[in-house]
Amino acid sequence: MVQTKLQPIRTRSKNCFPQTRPTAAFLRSSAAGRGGRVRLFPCMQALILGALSVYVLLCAKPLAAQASKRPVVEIITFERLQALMKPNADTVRIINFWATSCLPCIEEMPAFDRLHREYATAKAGAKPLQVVFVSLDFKRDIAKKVIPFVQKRNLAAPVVFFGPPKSAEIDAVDSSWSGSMPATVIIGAKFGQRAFYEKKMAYDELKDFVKTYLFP
Amino acid sequence: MKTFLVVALFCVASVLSAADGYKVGDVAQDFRLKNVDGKMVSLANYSDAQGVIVVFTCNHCPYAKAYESRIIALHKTFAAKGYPVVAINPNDPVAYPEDSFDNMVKRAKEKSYPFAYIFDETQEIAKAYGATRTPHIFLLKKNTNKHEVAYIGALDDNSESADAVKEKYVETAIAALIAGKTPAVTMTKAVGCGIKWKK
Repeated sequence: MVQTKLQPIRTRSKNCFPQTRPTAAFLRSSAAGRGGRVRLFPCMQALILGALSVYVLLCAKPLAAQASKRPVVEIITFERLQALMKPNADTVRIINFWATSCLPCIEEMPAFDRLHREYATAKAGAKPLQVVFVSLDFKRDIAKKVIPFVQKRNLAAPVVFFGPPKSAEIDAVDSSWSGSMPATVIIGAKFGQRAFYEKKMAYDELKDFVKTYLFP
Repeated sequence: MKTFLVVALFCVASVLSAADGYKVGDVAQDFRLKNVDGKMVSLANYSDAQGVIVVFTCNHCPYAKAYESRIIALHKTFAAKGYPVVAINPNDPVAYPEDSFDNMVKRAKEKSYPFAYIFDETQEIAKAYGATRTPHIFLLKKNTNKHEVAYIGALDDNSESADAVKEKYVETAIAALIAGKTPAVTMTKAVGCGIKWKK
């Protein structure tokens, strides 16, 4: 693993000047640019190479990790939230509003996730069901609290981030929502199939209700 | 059977009233709750004021914490104009130990609260008012010996950042009251931490 990372540096420093790739920008601007001029001092070249490989190893690792994963928590707009809450002929959707600071929210999460796992793929005669967890944490807490929480929980259902909604947005989610969490909207596949709960839900309660939307 | 019916009716009635709470224009119930200085505080203590800004808040909730310094500033500006803040913690400290009375005393000291910070231990006041979350504000206007609800909701339109606020709902409502007018916006919503009710 170390060798594969080091190799591209060696080839680049041999060529030294045709550094046109943007990923090699730092080579051009710093040590490698000088590489041509200091050819007389191989030990120095070795030193520069060493320093570069350390740099690449340190910086390339997190970049590679970022590229290989889809975002842990997608940030969504209000338009996207509204689209999620529209009746969809193929899916029953459960939108759960939560925050990392909300204990009852965290306590009810496994019930929602279990339901999502059980019904995510359509069973005979059933519509697929999708749970979406919508975080209403502060924006400044996404990296510090929301993402670490989601990574630790290993949830099957997707988690998106919306942040604290405005007064009108709370009303648009449901006119009866006072703004406390947890809060849950269930949207059936048929027009008018909609339920809102401003309380902590248990698995059985959730399942009993959702069944009426899944098996009409 | 009769007792069962009476009990059932009572339960339904209490659930209904708890869910409803106050609307703008309702007369707010007075209370007698223990302040962080050990003294009891009532609305009657504020007979010289024009009204009271009742803020249901607590120690643990990040949304309440985000508003803490703004609530202090609000009191400093408006107490002199006849609208002092009274902060009420309605949370069950069993659920959130950070919201215990001792921790209220600590928090009030640390942040030098210039207003009363009282403990609604039985949660009766939060239920009567219809508070559901922290922070949740009820602006009361004095009308002879009664306190009428003039505004319910959020302090302003941005809980996360005071710098990004566009609408200062409570300040605007107070300004209208002081001018002898009815506030244009009397009800707003905001997310907060659900009040943890006793089991």
